[in-house]
Amino acid sequence: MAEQIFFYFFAALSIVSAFLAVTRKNPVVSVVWLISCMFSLAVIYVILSAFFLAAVQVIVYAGAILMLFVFVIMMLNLKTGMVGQLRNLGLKFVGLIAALLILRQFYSAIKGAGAMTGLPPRAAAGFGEAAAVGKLLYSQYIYPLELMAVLLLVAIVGALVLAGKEQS
Amino acid sequence: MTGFPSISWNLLLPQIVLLSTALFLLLLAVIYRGGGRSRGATVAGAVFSLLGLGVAAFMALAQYDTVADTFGAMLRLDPFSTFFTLLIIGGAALCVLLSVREAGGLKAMAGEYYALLIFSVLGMVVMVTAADLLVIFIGLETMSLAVYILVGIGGERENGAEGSLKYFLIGAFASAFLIYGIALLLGTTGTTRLDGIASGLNLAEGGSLQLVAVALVLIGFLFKIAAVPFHMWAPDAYEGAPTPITAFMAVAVKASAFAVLLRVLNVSLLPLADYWLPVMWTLAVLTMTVGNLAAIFQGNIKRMLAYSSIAHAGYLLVALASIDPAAAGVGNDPAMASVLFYLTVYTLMNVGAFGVLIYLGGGGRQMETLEQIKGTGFRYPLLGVAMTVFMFSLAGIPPTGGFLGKFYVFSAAVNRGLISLAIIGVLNSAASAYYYIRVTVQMYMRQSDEQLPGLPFSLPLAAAVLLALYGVFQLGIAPSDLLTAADRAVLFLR
Amino acid sequence: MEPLAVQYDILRWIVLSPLLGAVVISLLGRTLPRKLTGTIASAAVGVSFFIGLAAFIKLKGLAGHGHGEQAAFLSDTLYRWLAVGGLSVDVAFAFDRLSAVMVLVVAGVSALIHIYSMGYMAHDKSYWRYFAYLNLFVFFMLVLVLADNAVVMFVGWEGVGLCSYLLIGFWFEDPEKAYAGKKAFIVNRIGDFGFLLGIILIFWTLGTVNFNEIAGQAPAVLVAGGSLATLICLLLFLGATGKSAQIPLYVWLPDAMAGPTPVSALIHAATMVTAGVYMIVRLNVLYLLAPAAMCVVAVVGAATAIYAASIGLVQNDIKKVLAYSTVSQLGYMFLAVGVGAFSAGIFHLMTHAFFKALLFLGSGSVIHAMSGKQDIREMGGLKKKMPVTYWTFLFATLAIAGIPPFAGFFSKDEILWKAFSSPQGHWGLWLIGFAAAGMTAFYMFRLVFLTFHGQCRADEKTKSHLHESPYLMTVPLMVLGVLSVIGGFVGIPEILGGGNGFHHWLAPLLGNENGAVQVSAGVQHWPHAVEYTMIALSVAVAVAGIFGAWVFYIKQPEKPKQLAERWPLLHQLVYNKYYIDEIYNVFIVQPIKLTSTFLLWKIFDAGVIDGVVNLTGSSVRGLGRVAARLQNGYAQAYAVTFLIGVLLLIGSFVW
Repeated sequence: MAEQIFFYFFAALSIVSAFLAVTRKNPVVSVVWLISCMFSLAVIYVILSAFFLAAVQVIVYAGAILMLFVFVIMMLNLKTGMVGQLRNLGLKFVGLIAALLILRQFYSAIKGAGAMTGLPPRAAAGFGEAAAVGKLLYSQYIYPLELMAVLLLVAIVGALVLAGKEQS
Repeated sequence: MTGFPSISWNLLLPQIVLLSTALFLLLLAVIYRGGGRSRGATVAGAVFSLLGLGVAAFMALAQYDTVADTFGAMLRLDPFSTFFTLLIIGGAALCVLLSVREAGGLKAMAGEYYALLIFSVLGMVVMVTAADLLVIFIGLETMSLAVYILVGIGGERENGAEGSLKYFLIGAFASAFLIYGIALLLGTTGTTRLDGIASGLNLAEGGSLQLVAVALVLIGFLFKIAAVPFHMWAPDAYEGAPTPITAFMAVAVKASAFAVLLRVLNVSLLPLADYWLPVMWTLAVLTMTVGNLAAIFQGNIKRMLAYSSIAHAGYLLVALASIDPAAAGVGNDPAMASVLFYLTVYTLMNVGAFGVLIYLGGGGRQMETLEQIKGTGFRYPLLGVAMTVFMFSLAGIPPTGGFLGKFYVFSAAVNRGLISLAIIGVLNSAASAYYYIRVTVQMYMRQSDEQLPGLPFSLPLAAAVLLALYGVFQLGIAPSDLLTAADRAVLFLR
Repeated sequence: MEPLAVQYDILRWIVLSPLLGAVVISLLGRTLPRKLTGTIASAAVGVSFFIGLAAFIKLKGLAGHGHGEQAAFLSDTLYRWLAVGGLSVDVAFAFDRLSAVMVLVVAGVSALIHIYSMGYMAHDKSYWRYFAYLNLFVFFMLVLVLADNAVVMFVGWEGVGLCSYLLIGFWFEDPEKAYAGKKAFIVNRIGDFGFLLGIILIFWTLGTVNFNEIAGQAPAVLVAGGSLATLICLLLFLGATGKSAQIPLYVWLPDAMAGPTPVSALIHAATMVTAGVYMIVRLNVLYLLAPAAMCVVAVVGAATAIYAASIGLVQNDIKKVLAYSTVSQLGYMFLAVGVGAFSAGIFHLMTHAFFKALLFLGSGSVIHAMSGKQDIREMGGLKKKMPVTYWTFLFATLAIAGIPPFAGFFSKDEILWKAFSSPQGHWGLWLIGFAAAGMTAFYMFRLVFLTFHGQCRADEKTKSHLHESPYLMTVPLMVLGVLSVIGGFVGIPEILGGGNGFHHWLAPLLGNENGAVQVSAGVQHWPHAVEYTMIALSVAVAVAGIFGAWVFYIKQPEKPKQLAERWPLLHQLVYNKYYIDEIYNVFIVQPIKLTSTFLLWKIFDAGVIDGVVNLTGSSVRGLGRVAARLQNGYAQAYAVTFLIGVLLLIGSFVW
């Protein structure tokens, strides 16, 4: 019961935070709401007994990445209103309608899936702890893991290339 | 819990070679200290890239007949994956040849440029070899990230950054849908393995979530092939990118995305054929028609070729819509083999056309719009002839490979009784002749307003154009070897 | 019974010889002396002709009495081109009685025109390029007529279109000519689309594209008179209307006269434009299964015949008159095949190749002498200056007018008779053909009288240059002149004491004659008197046409002007070719352009407006620039389009 209350509270919080993050005009305020969103997601991971993931979520997203965002915003001295605003109201409206309809599709699909019996079994003991995740990552998922390393390398090289370009 | 997966390292050799090449190229800037933008670095980068691609291709060729799973079935090596590996490496090698002159003018170091190119090739090879949606996703992201950067790498191009940014933003959007779809599939089928998904599909019980998941996954791939309405990024990105990268996107990115689509549709989603076949039908019609009609009004040849590439994706979707899920064997179903054939021809004729454009631009004068290429056919006769052949091939006129490609695709459609689709396709292809022929008309039948400069000879460019020219004729006149290979490759899809 | 196939390896050289010529000339043409280039090109086609002749003799030797022997053909398979999913296509050539006729006509006339071109083009700066294209054209044309299956035929079909495009736009510097080339190409693409779809449908229904197998299987698989057979035939006919310039796709041919005159003679009179007729006769088995389609063919043919003839009455450009005359004569051929008189269609194709090539070459000779002028109002009295040209031109004119015993009389008369008497015929069709024959005689003699008779109306400078053309040009004229006189003797009808050998030669290949297909119920037998009357009538109308032209242009030259003044609207209408080009432009070209411009350019392509935004955006540097780019709205528009795509795609899966 408590679990459910927690879930609904943080799920709602994450949605509200995400919504505020995209609608605020001041970038710093946006980032703060984003941090709140990430935290709420981390709590939901905990409820789902994915402890390792929750920790990573806090450290990497809420910690590292969003701190970086704040730094960038401060260094560039971005002011309120510099972040793009969608001025075309018609476009806004069409986008909103489409998004709502997609939401409606998801809703009925997920509702329909409630009756599924072939779902995977509930998490086994030890699921979601660092040791279990680590074991999986370094055995069954070793190939994607290594591939992720390449992906990150490409991202670093790309960042350097673009930064270098901007300088010269 | 499964233990550490058994690994057959030798199956990974092409990927390892590609990775080492890319890493080595990154060091090039260090080797040419302070001269990462020098001509020497540019040439060395191209030479090492070609070398790496060549060795990787050789390794792939050596194991052409191998059929094996490795890394706990994360990867599946079979003639289908090897066919595409070779096609992608070949297309990339041609693009490297196209780059030698252009890479000097970029703001990035030559080493980084080629390294990113090879990294994206690696991503593509992973995509076509993958047997697991997770691996496909990471491969796709590796490829995409590298290509986003390459699009924006252009030196003086103002629209390069814009094209890159739009591509990146919409690409991230598409990736989000893809990964969400994968997650939903994992949730509802219990696996991300391609073959596991097929057996995990269970429409009887709340399957609509599975259908949503499948739709989301398909959107991720349809974005990469620039199918309408997920095509909006393509003209901007194509126009803004350095021309060799435009060629690279048009051929290699498209080929790998189609490879993945073919595999996913056949291995995982065959039970849902009744759902996705009509979708492919509609997308094919939309994509062909929008691509061709929009191409008619382009003054910029790169942008025109961007729309043309959308139209060609439409023709390929015709083949996907013609897949026969009940065919006794894939051998009896020409639809899939026609995709492989078409993509090969398409690679050659597109690289050729872009190669001619780059060559024409070598005289210090921009050659990108129909206005600018006026009269070039007489000034540079060989380039004019080559461009004419590529345009005719793109328009599907015999005896070029482009004709046979279209002929295959449309006869596959007819084979399945999709007469109306074939009619729309043939009509589209007739309409496309209009804008392709306009390029030759401009080259041959209009006078240039000013004196056209002499063009410096470029061996790599000439080699790329001649290879493409040879290939286009070879595939038009004696296509049987490739057809046999394509026929055999698709046998391993089911 | 399957026709007998005999392997004959040198057949491929009929086709390859001109290809080789084209390759050699395009590689070495720049360096070789002009004479040699022309000689190589002519020799290459000559070789084709003589191999064709050898094959013809061999084929004749095969003829026995059984059907299999009579329909026998020589075959030469080069290699398997493609084989996928039940479809296999060989690059193979078949030389049967029909292709024998076509090969000899095509290669023979081509060789003569090549020789003529050596004189006509002697001073052109792109001499070698011209011959390379010409040889390439002959190669594709021979591929077209020798192909043993529809796909290889299609290759030839597209190839000749391509070469015609290259040769029409030969004098590239002139934008109007380039436009004519483009128009020809695009109109032909419309037709080709029909042809390709027809082939695809044939493959789908019969599982083969090989002509022999089509002929063998069609009667068993397709329902006679069924909609499928009709659809296939109509699609194929759409292809034929494009290539053979029939209503509604004839518009490109008059403009195609922008090319050099020998090209008009070769491509736009003797060979390529007849490909549509050849194709229908080649697939006559299919057409016999679709009487409705045959009816369409006949009506379109008859309509084109009289329509183009009426335009020809008032044109003043010597080549335009011949162009409309060609369209009109092609209409006759389609009328013939449409009423099931396939051999008559091919017969007229052959005689027309002789006399129309001659007419064009003669007009080329005139234009050559007139220093490039083509307006017949500026000519006149050329008879004395150019006797060879005049006499050969006159023979050809008599032939096209249908005066016995010239070649055209026999073929045209047979068409008119069949249009009347055949079970698929109709007296209305005959009447149209009959009227068109009168017009033909009239406008052709108008041309002759205005060009060669009366006073010379040219200016002094042109007058002083008037001369007969060199031997290289007049010898081909004389050869064709002889053929225009005697060419019809191979098909003298039985009623005039001939054996109609031409008809019997082709008969084994024609479905209705060998009893394989019989759509038409009871063939009516007409009394001889009717046939004699018809012959007399068609001669009479030709003579009347000639007499009319004589009255109008020799006896009372002021008459035509008076008539034009009395009915100015009618004259304007006809003179401006019924404003068809304008109508096409207003009702087809412009709406397509407008729709695409407004719908697509504005909705699907943001390039233009985007560019303007970029211009303002580029002044902002750094991240500000990025922000500006995001704010121009297009990225969001793309995202919203994407979202709608997502919505629809999910929708198509879930609902």
